[in-house]
Amino acid sequence: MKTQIMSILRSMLLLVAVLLFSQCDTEDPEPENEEELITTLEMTFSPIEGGDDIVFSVYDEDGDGPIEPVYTNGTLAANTNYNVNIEVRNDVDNENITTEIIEEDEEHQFFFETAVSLFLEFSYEDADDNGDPIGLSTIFYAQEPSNGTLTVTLRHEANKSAEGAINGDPSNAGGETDIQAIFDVVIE
Amino acid sequence: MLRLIKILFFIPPILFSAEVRAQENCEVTFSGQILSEGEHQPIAFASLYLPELENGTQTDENGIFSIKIPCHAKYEVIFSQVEYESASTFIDIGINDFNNTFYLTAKNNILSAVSVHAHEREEVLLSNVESVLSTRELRKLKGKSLSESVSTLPGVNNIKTGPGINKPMIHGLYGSRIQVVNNEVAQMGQQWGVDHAPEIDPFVASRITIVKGASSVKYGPRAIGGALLLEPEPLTPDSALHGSLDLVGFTNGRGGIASAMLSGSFILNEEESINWRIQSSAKKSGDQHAANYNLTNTGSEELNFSAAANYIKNDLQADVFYSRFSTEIGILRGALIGNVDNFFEALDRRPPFFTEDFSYEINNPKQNVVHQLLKAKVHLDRSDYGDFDFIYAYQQNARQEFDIRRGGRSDRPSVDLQLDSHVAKLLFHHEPIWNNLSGEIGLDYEYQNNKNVPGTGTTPLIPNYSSLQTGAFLNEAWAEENWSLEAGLRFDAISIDVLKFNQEGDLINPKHQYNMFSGIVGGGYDISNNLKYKSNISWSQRAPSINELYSQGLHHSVAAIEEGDDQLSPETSLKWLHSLQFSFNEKLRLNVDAYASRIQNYIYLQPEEPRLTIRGAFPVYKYKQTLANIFGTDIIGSYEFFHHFTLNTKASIIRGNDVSNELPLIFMPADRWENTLNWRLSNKLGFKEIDFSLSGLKVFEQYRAPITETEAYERETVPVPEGYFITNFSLDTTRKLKNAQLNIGLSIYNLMNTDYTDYLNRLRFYAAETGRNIELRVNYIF
Repeated sequence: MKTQIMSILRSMLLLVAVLLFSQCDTEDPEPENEEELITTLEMTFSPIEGGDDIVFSVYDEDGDGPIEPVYTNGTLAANTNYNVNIEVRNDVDNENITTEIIEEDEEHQFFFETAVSLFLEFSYEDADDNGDPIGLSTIFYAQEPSNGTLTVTLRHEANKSAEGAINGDPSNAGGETDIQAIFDVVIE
Repeated sequence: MLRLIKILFFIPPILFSAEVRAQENCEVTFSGQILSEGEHQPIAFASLYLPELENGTQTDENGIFSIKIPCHAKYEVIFSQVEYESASTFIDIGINDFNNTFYLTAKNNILSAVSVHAHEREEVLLSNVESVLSTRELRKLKGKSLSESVSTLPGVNNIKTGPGINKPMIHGLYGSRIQVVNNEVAQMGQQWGVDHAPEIDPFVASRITIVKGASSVKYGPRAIGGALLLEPEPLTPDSALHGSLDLVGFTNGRGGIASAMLSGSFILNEEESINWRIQSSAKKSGDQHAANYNLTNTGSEELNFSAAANYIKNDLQADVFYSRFSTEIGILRGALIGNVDNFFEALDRRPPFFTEDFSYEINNPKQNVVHQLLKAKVHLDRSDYGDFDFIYAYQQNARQEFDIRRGGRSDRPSVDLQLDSHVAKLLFHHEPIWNNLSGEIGLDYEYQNNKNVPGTGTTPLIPNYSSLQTGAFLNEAWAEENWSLEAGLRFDAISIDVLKFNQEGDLINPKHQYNMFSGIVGGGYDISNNLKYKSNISWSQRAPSINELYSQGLHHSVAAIEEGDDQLSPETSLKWLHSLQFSFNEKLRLNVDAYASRIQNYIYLQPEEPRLTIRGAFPVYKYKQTLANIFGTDIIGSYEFFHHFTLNTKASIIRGNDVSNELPLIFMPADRWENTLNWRLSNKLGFKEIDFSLSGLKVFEQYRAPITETEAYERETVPVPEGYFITNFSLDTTRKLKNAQLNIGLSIYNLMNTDYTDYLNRLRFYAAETGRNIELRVNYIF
């Protein structure tokens, strides 16, 4: 009996020894690119009647990180119609995300909300296969001189037929916000 | 389940075509054989006694007996033999002779060493306050998850992330502060996540114990807030093939559960046996339903398998156990949000965004988890000095979480973690010294290796790391007839080795080392036969967990950024626990537990200023430390108004304070009070037992919630759910069949289809709790 116990204890100790010395260390992590990172939104206002483009942009180099987004705002001319095109990029990895949005246009929509003080109107100029707006291409109409904020929101999987969505109001559309840029607009 | 069979007497009315006797003054022959349960050996010189007749007989060397008794009557028969447990049963005698076989269970103290240790239950500290779910109670909870089952015990709450993800909370603490011990092995999953449920199939367990005190001394530093122990039925030699089959169907989710178990033995000789058991369970549920709307994408699937075998020879027992748990759980679609604006848009929206008609489909967001456990154990019982246990277990936990992603990436997990762990335990339990002093000494070893499986295309939430924890402990208890005293000590050292990329993209290798002490002093005193008192004071320490140190990133379900702090120091808890048990006249029972704990360096999430990003504003939570006080009471009582008609009451009150910041602690359970009327019928309508119960649960509003969430979002107040009252009904029956038992149960949860939300549901902002659910359970044991 005694030898039996000893042999069992010996095998236990051996097992413990194997455990203690056979461990692998922490594995080296592979660098993981934040693939869905969006750093930049550029909104180009081109006067329909001709003239220089005005570019509004926001750049956030670390996405969800602590570095705050940097805004470039512009000044629009009063009583002018603009063709507006939006470009979305990941400048860290040099990716054009606009193409991803076009590929999945039924799942994406840009929404535009203006402060009450800002006399700026817009209409969607593009549509997905269902005939619902996307917002990459729009026409903006700058009215009387005024100033205020223009909030541009890109939603993923929003309900495009929700109340107000067609007019650029995202509050009933749900979905996840991919971009929310708040520009200070001056109309002179 | 097998245990039940042990006390089950097979009473098949084997009717012999014996001669029909005259109706008046007729006599029949009642004969049969008495065998030992398990080995089926004849039991000689066992006595049978029929109290109604004041008559009896004895078995011969072959266990055979025969006695003449009057016909047309029902008799009680009492069996006794010195080496076996006495037992009694009823026989119904008609006009025919009656022949049957009866089984007796050997008494533990005289039984061959074979099953002595096999019957041994995991011993809990004597002075600790525990609540147990036994086979009987578990049978009524067959359709519930592990956490939902244990939250029926006072002092235990269930933290939900929608209907599919449930996590237990003991006295206000959860996650990394609770040790789950499954089949004697510390569960090694990604416990840190509030939305990570324990990866365990509750069908494996025949007994679940909640240890409410800090039981770190026995279960390690993570048991600072308590422990949850799951034990399967012991594997003991039994020549008969046993098994069970469970079928559960429920209306809310239009789902079902099926589980089957089979066990048997190869009895090699009187001393040696090989015993085995296999078990499997599967679950499928579609979208659940709140009182007034469908909860889209809340379906779930589960598929589990386990196999156990042991070899018993005299005082040696060797066990192997393997289990595989796998699940896919959908998360309410309307709860996946982007930024703070999305949160407030979803807050008052009922039904939630994305609500569609019922479906079995599980889409993103969802979780896929596979947990495997392989355990080996050697037990050696030396009656002269004590017994040894050596346990080794390997666990692999694979967790994948899927989000709604852009550019066809939704098929790729956003979180993909694999945690491999090895645990080993060496335990020596010594025989009582000076008749009264018994105790144990043990060594614990834990190694964990966590890696992020590459290819997610996201920044990992927690880094790759490995940790090594070694511990040694000693517990001794002095037990007298009406009092006991105990003390325990433990020391653990943990080293954590982390490899991660910092903000600049450089690979860094921080290392941490923590020492943790814990101790307990406690005792119990039986003041009288009706009044018992237990108390203990425990001191325990817990090292910060990996998420508290290194968490980094965005939690989509709460739209919040969580950031760890690698400078955190261990938590130190001092908890004083009292328990008073009172019974009067067998009719009134009352159990009052009271506790107070003080946790220094309590780690919690403190909201910081919201962060502005290109995606909008997000609340930021940082792990901070404070001094916390938690105290409360659990009351459980029952009163039997008349025979088998009982009122049960359960109440729990808990208060938590952040002392340094003079605020209530966040996420503390609201006060709750539950009353149950129970009516039990025995031997009626052909059923051995029929049990009706109607319960009403009142949960009060958590008016002591801090307003930190509001500060975090820097917007309007996020309201706390109102109090609610829900009623549940259940009917359970037990029927004895030939060599088997059939249990059928029916439950209706949320009988009134009440629309309510619970403070401890993390998705309470987006949808209500589930509505009425009718559940039918069939359990067949042979």
